Amino acid sequence: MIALGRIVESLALPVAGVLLALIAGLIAFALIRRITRRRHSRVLDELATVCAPLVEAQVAGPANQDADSDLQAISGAWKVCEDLGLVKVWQRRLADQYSRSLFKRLFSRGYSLVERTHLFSFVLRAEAAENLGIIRHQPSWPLLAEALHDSHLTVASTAARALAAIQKPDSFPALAERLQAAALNPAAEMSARTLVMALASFPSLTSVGLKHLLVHPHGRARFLAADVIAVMLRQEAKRAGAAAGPESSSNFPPEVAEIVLTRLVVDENADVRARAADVAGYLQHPRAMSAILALLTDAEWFVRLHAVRAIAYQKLMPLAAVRDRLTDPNWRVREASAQTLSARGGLGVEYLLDPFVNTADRYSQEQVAEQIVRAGLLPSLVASFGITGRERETRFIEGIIRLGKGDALLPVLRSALPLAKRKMLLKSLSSHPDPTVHSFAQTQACVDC
Amino acid sequence: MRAFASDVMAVFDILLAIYFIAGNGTYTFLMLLSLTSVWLHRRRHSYEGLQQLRESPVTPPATIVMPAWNEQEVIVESVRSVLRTDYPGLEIVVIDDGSSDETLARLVAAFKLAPVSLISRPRLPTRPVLGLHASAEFPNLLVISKEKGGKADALNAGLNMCRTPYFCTLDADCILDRDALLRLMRPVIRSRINLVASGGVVRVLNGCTVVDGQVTKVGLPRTSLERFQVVEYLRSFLFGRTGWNLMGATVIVSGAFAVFHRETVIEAGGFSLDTVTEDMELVVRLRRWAAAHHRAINISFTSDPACWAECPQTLRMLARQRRRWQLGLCQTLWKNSPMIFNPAFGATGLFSLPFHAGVEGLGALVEVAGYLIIPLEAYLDPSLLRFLLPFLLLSLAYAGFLSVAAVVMEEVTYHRYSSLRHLAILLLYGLLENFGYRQLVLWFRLQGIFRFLAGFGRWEKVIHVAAREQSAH
Repeated sequence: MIALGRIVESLALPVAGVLLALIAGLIAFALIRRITRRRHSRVLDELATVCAPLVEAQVAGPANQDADSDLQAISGAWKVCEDLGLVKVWQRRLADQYSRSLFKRLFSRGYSLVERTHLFSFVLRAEAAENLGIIRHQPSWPLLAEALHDSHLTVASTAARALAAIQKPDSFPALAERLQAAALNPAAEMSARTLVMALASFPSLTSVGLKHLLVHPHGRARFLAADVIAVMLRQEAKRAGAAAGPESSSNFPPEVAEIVLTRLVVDENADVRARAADVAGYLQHPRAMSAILALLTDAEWFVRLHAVRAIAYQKLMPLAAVRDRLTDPNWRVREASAQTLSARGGLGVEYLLDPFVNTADRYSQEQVAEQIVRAGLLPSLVASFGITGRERETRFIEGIIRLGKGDALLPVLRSALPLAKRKMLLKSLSSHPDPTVHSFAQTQACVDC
Repeated sequence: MRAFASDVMAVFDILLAIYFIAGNGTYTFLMLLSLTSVWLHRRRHSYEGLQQLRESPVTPPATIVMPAWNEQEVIVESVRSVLRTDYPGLEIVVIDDGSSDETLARLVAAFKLAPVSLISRPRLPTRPVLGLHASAEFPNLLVISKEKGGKADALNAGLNMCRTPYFCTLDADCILDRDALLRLMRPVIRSRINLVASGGVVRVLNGCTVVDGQVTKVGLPRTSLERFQVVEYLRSFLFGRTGWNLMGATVIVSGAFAVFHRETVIEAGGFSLDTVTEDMELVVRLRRWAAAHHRAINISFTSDPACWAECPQTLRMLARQRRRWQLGLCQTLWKNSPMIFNPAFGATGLFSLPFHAGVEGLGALVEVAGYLIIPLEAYLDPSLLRFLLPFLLLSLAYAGFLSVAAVVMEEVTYHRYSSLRHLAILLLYGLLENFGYRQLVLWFRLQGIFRFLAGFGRWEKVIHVAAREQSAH
C-alpha cells in the first residue's frame, strides 16, 4: 500500500502536468488549425474564381460539338494531367518507385510524410490508381494490371476499378485471372464483388476471355464467370432501353453462348445453373428458350426462380410456362412468376387473372392478388367491373374480397372511381351470394351514405 | 475496527489503481488506433468514391426498418429524410408499435397511406400485426401497424416484411445524411467474408438546422446538458468504437443506425426481447452464433456515415436513457458471460468483453466507491492527502485529455462543426465534462446497475420533442 502510495506520489503530478500541457497543446493546435484553414479556404475560393474559367476552357479542348461531352472532358483532363506531370507522379507512386533511398528520402524536400517514411504508402498507390482511372489513362493499363497483384488489397481493388473505367480489352485477361484466384481462395483475395463489378463493365463481346473459367473444374469459378456475363448482359440491355432484351445480345460471342446453353444449364452446381438461366434470358439463340423451359422445372427452387425471371427478358417465350409456376411450392417462385406476368402486361395480366379465378389454391390466389395490388393494376380492373365481356375482372374483384383483402380496394373505390360507378359496383356486390362480399359491399355502401 | 477499515480501504485503493490503469490504458490504446484508422478512412475517400457503389449492379438492395412508438412529433420528418436517402433499390418499412398518440395518423396523412393486404410470412414471432399501409405516391414505403410489443418486437415485425438481403435499423427520431446508407454499405461490398453487421456514427441533432428532412447546418444545442452529450458522443463513436473495430472486436453497433444481414439475423433468432439494448445483445449473439456454427463473419464500424439523433434535453430523460443503457449492458454481459475471457472468441472474448464488463459495466461501482472512500481515507488519515490529491488531479487531467482529444479528432477529420465559436465551445465543454456531468451520469449508471441486480427489465421511453433549430417541408 505504501509502495503504491509512493509510486502515485512520485508519478501522478508529473504525468498530470504532461497531460495538462498536452490538453493546452491540443486546444491551441485545433484553434490555430481552424484559423489557418479559414485563411486557406478564402485564398482557394479567390483562386477558383480566377482560374476556373481558364481550366474549364482547357478541359473542354477544341470546339467539337459532335463529340461526346464526357469523353471530351476526360481526354482534356488526361492531357492537362500529363502536361502538369501528374501522370508521371501517379505512375511512379503506383509502381512504388522512389528515386532515392529511404535514408535520403527521409531528409529530402518535395516528399510528403507518407513518402518519406513509407508508412501507409499503400494510400498513395491507391490514390494514384484511382486518379489514373478517373482520367482513363489508357497507356497506364499495364501498370494498373500489375497493381492487381499489389501486396495491399486496397490498391489491388482500386486498380481493378481503374481498369474497369479504362476498359482496355487487353486488361481483361488480367482481371479474369484475379477472379479465378478469388474463386479458388476467397479469404486471401480481393472481394469477388469488386472483380465482378470490374469485369462486368466491359462489353459482353469480351466475355470470350472468360471461356476457361466457364469450364473450370471449380464450381465457384464457373459461377462467378457466369455471374459476370449475366451482369454484362443486364447492363447492356438496360443501356439499350426497355425495348431491348434478347436483341441486345446479337454481338455476343457464339462460343460462349454455346458453353452456357449446353454445359452450364445442366451444371451439377445449382448456383451455376441459376446464373446460366440469367444469361440465357438475354441470349438471342435458338436453344435459349428450351434451356430456360427446362430450368423452370429444376429441382432447386432458386434455379426455377432465376428461370422465371429470365423469361421477363425473352419476349418470344410462351407465358403459359410461367403461369404454371404460379402454383410452385416455393413462394418466391410464385412471387417472381406473378411479377414476370404483370411486367409483360396484356396477355401476362390475363394469365395472372386466369388462375386466380379458376384455381382453388389459396396461396396462388394470394400471390396474384398481391402482385396486382403492388403493380398498380387494381384501378383498371375495378374500372372494368361489370362490363360485358370482362367477367374475369369482375370475378377477380369478388375473389379479392372473398380472400379477405377488401382493404386493398378501398383507396381505389374512394379516389379512382366516380361515385356513380362506385354505387353500381357496391350494389352489384351487395347481392353476391358470398356473405364476405355481401357484407363488404353493405359496409362500404353505408360509408357512402 | 479502525484497522479493519484501513485494510478495506487499502484493498480498494489497489482496485482503484488497477481500474484506473486498465480503463485509461485501454482508452489511450483505442485513441491511438482510432486516430490511425480515421485518418486512413479519410484518405480512402479520395480513392473510393460512392459513385461506383451507387451505380453498381452488385450493390445489394436494402430496407430501412424504422420502429416507432409515440413519435408523433418527429416521425413525419424522419420518414421524409429516409425517403430522400441516396441508395439504389431502397425499401422502407416503418413499424408503429401500438402508439397511443397520433404517430400512425400523421404518417397516413403525410404520405397518403392506404390500407393494403400483403402476404405476410412471419419467420420471427411477434405481437399481432393490425394492418399494413402503403402509398401510391411512395411505392417503396410500407407502414406496419401492430400491437405494442417493444422495440425488439417491432424490429422483428419489420424483419418479417423485409424482402432485401440487408436491412438497416433506424430510430424514429433520427435524420440520415443522404449518402449515409451508401457509406454504411461500403464495407459490405468490400468485405471478403459475410459482413453481418455494419454500424455508423450517431451524432447529436439538437441545435442543427433541418430543412426538408435533411441536416443543412450543423449547430450546437443551447443547454449545457446537451452540449456535454455532444462531446460524449464524439468520444464514444470516434474513439471507442473505431478502435474496437480495428481490433476486430466490435460488440456494440448502435441500433439507432446499423445495417444487418437479414438471413443471418433471422437464423440467429432475430432481436431479443429479454434485454433493453437489443442492438448490443444481437451483435454479441451473432458472434456467439457464428462461433457455434463455424461461420466466418465480419462485423464492422465505419466512422463517417452519420445519422443525427436527438439527445435528451432534460435530466429526467437523460436519466432514463443512461439507466437503460447500463441495464442493457449488464443484461447482455450477463447473458453472454461464457464469452468473457474465452479465447474461442478471439479479441472479442479476450479484450472487448472483459473491458466492457470491468470498465463500462462495473466501473460505475468502482468510481462511485472512489468518490466516497477517498474523502473518508483523507479524513481518517490526513497524511494520505499527499498522494490522494495528485491522484485526483491525474484522474481529472486524463479524463479531460480524452474528451479534448475527441473534439480535436473530430476537428482534424470530419470537422462538421464549421464555426470557430462552436469549436471553442466544444473544447471548453470537453474540459468541463468531468466536473459535475460525469458524476451525474455515473449516478444514473449506478441506478442502472441496481435495477439489473433487482431484476428490473422494463424499457424506459425517452420522449423526443423535435429539438432541432427549425424544420420546413
